[in-house]
Amino acid sequence: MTGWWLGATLWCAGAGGVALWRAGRNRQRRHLWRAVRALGLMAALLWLASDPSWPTPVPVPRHTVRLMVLDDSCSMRLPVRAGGPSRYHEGRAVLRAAARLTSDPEPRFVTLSGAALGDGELSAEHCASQSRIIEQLAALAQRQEHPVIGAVLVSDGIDTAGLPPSRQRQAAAALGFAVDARPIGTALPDLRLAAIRHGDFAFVKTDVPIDIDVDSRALSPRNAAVRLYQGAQLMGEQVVRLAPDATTTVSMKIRADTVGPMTLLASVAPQSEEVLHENNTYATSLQILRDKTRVLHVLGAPSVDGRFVREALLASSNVDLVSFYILRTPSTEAVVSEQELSLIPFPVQQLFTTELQNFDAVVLQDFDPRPFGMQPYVGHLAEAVRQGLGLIMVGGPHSFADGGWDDTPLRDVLPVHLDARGARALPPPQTSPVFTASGRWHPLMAGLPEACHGSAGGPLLPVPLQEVGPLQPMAAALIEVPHTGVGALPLLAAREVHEGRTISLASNGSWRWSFSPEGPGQPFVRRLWQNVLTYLSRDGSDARLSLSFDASRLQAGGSAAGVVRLLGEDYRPAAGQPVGLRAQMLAAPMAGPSSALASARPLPEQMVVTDADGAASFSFDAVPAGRLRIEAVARSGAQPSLAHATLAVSPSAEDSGVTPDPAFMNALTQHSGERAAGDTDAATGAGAAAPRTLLVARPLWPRDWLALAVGIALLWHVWRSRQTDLYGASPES
Amino acid sequence: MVGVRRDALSEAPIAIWQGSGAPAPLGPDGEQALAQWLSAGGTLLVDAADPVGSASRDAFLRGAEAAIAGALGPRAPSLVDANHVLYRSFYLLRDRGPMRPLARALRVQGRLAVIFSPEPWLAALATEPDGHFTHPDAAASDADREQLVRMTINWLMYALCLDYKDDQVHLPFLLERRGRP
Repeated sequence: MTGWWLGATLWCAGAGGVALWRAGRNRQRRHLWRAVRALGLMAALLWLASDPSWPTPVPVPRHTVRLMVLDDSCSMRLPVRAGGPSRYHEGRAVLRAAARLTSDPEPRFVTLSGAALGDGELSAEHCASQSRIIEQLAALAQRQEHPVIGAVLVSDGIDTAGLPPSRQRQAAAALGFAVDARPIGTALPDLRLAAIRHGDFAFVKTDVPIDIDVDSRALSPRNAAVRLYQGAQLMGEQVVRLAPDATTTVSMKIRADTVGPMTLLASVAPQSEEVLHENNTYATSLQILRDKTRVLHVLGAPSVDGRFVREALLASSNVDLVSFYILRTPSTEAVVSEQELSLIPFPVQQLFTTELQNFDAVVLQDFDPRPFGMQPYVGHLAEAVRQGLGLIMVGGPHSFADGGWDDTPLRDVLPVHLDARGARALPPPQTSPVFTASGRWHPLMAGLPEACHGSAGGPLLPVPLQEVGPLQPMAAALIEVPHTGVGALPLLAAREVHEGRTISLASNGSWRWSFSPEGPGQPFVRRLWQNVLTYLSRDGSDARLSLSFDASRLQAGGSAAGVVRLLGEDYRPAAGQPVGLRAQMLAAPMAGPSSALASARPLPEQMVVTDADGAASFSFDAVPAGRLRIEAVARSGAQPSLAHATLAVSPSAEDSGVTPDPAFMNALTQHSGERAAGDTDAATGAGAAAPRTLLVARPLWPRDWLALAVGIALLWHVWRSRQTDLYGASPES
Repeated sequence: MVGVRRDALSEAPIAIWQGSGAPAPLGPDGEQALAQWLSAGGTLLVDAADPVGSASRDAFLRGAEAAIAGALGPRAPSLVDANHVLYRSFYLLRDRGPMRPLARALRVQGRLAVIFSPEPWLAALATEPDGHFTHPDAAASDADREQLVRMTINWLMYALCLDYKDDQVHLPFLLERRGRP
């Protein structure tokens, strides 16, 4: 109406103008002008009388929301079919077509991650490596300012939540609104390493069975090579016949040569038809344990302490113990025939030359090497320690300097000096040993302080002491005996010597800790010796800089989070020290060509600062699948320390999602909104949502004002008429 | 007559209970202390001083067995097999020389924790300050006495070295010696 009146007014004005222009001069124009003015006035009055209005956008409160959701997880970057556009691209078109079918004039277009849906392609950097579809839908609904009455979801249905079907149904029903879940994508030709199956641990130098599951989808039957690597080393290879649309298990056996975490990578040869090669590899890790710690125990003379050490060593089932107890020295006069004795030769040369490499640790207890002509071989023993052999010297009348070791090369590798004999007095016999601050974090002391003074055991009892000198460089006293004015005597000390480790226990009375009811007890002593063997055989982590992780197994998209701990030269926590952390994905030995999901996500380097306990937390987020190596670098005293760990990151379904899951989508459609209140038809939009803004016809002229204006106009007209009658002429003349 | 004191036992992981005639009961505290001591690693030799076959010897052994049963629970000591390391912990007793009667023992955690000597081992060793044997009738002959001394030493070696002579490294040497006349 408003437009019609406006047009009529404009027409009148235009017609009047034309008439004026075509009329004659002066008098004719005036008459015509009056006629036009009268017509214009009449038109204006009629227009005003019609209650004119003007369309004005007015914000209208929204009461409900309808969502149009597109899955933006990484599997949506795959082609919807071989050679076709991406699932994401196609899905956006599907979603917009669906929007036209709804009665909602303004549905909200969002991605499953919550971002506004744009027109661009889904990039590797911005796609979500995890998809927990139902959870994300619920989160999307919670973020809306008004209740969601329905949603249309376009997705390939690949969900990494891992919910069983029953839980999926429950979660969908609990959404509170209906979801029209529209699956997209078809199965693509692909070989996928689904899993590597093995035990959590295996023993070194024994066969470890490994089962590798290979999925073949939409491919013709074919042979393919499956390989297993440790680092760059090929551990095994098999060519297997892969049936179409089936899982084939490949069994291999490998053998680990070293103790510690072992990261394996399985790979199946990429095929030319495949659209995805990232899932042709699969990384995993397992712990390789020492099946037997080979220990040489040399006891200089039968003793109670020797017997308790033997029991403690044998308490661990994985100790292969070779003992030589000196029951009679070469100088002892023989009064009976050798045939009547059970004595055997002590093969000094053989043990400390050729056989030494067969041991992980050597225990020298109360042993004097001199009567056995061992001096020529002590240098070999010291060199073996530097190259990685573990050594502990336990006290007794024939140990340390009393055993003549101060004149041998072994003095240079022990944790304590031996050349201070007689230089100072021993602490009083009844002085109790104490744990040092260095011992709190030292791996040799793991769990030991807790075993003392607790409910399970008493304090460390005083023990007979052996005179030893102060600590060597890079050695730490872990248990000491305080001595007023002279300094504490290092009762238990440890040291790293090149590749090897050494320990000194300056007493032959530690058996009292196990035997006496007032002492810490047998569990304490057995734990001590277990720690000794673990430390000496280097089965534990690095002593001064260590990495520990919250989870040993990761899935792509998750976080590699943990704690780095730094100890100083004295094994005390190094507080306030910067530690650099770097994470990198190790290259696959048999990488395929670049494929649909190929991406390189650099993991940023981190710098953390240790707290008072020498610890700092770190986290590398959104780690991709493969082998992740994390390195930590710090300075421990004057020496730089380096620690590293390799984690296996298994691929998530998003990284290997060539096969859509329409069943999930159908279940979502079927069960979502079962508990919703009111009408929640997601697709048709029944009970449509109000628009966010409306064009409202706002009146330009209130009716009261119109009446007033008409009245004024009439009065003015009457007054002008009377003026004309009095003077016979209008004011215009 | 000596009672069992906890503090005294805690200082000595090896003990000998020698006596003649029926011993006095240990009492609840003594039995508990003995049980704890044996569990912690103590090794006990029960050695009757009287000659084999005497009534006082039998009375002592019966009383000692009852007292130890009160500590460890009711169980009878069993014969220590002839192949046990006890007989070759230092001397090769079962392979050389006259055969001696087998000892009886009670095991704790697989170890011979209590050994009942079948003959008066320590009585054969005991000497007076002038060098004469305290119990001349403990052994029938010097050779017999030597065997009892060797058995005592073997027990002591077992208490200090346990089954060390069972280690594989000893096997070829011991087999070789057993094979020789």
